[in-house]
Amino acid sequence: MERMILYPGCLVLSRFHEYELASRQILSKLEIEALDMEEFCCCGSSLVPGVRDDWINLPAYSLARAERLGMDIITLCGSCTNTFMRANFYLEKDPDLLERANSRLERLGLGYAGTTTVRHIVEILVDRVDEIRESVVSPLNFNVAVSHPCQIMRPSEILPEQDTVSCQAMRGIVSALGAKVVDYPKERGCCGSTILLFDRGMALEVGKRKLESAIEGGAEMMSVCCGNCLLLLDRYQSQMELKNGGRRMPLISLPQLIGLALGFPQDEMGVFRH
Amino acid sequence: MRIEIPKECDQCMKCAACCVVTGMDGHSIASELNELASSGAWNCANCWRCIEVCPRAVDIFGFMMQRRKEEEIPELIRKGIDGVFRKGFWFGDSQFNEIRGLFGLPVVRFLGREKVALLMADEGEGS
Repeated sequence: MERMILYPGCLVLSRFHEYELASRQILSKLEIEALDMEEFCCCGSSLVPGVRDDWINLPAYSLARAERLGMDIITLCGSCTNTFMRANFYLEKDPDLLERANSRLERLGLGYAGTTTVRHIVEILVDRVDEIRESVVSPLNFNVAVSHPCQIMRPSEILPEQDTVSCQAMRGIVSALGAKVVDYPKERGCCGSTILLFDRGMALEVGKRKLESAIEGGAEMMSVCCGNCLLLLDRYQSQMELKNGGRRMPLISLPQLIGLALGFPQDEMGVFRH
Repeated sequence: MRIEIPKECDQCMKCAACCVVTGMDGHSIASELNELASSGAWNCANCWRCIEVCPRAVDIFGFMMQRRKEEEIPELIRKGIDGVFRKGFWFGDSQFNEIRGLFGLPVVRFLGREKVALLMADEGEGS
């Protein structure tokens, strides 16, 4: 069994227990043992760099922890993925920056050489799509719109694996479950969740337009793979007046959707929370 | 004095044209680069499309982070960042581990204020 560090991130740890739980179960099914960070610390997101130049010490801490164990980090949120990849990029490019980060890490008995690989769960799952396809016991006979964790794809300077984590990854996995993946104009667009932090009304409108675009594309549900997407499109959906006769657009995370197709009980997959 | 617009930027408006926030008639770093507004650096959806479309490889992220230091931090972001320095966690949830326990999820221990302080520069050094 392969062992990796699961880093759900602040938002998923706190708000999306069903997503985290399903991720753990699917990883286990795929013979990946998900270990927890011994002492969790926020990745720093892209927000801390706006107030502190030494923001990189926050992601460097988690990267160093994983490196000491010789394990990759699996993320569940686009934002954490982007921040860790950005930190690795800067630390590799700038030896002085790495030295300064290490001078701080030493205070916690840690050091970082820059070897930790960070992978969003979509990347882990798409690598095992054949195994997932072969394990399906209840093919999903409905139309699904996918919303991609956009922060794991951009910018390409920092995230060069764009091809493997491109929009085709989620589409391929959902198709492997038997569902029909629908096309819709705003599929590649940002969900707008981070806008909630500074303009709630604007965020709701961006999310509404995305959901309506998926509905017009013929989607019966939407699958996402990021805590931010879940926050806006699922939890805040009741505050959007969708032009579909007031019906709710069901939202589900990709690991939960896989779990349903693989025959995990619905209550274990937390689908009643959506 | 304000951080100046990077000299590589020729204000072609491509970033503003793809920005989610400017697309909703708001102001973002793309507005600042193109001198459409003097603030908006915190108004970002983190989609990073602007960086992708920039034909002159302007360090938009670096510019945005420097401009953010000169602009007012939105309240929710301020609260979250305070939480990160308080114990290494964005939220200030009560009964956090108790609720996780109801889902059968493992207890999370946070790095904590003292260790976060060891990790980050001393007061005045890092900002």
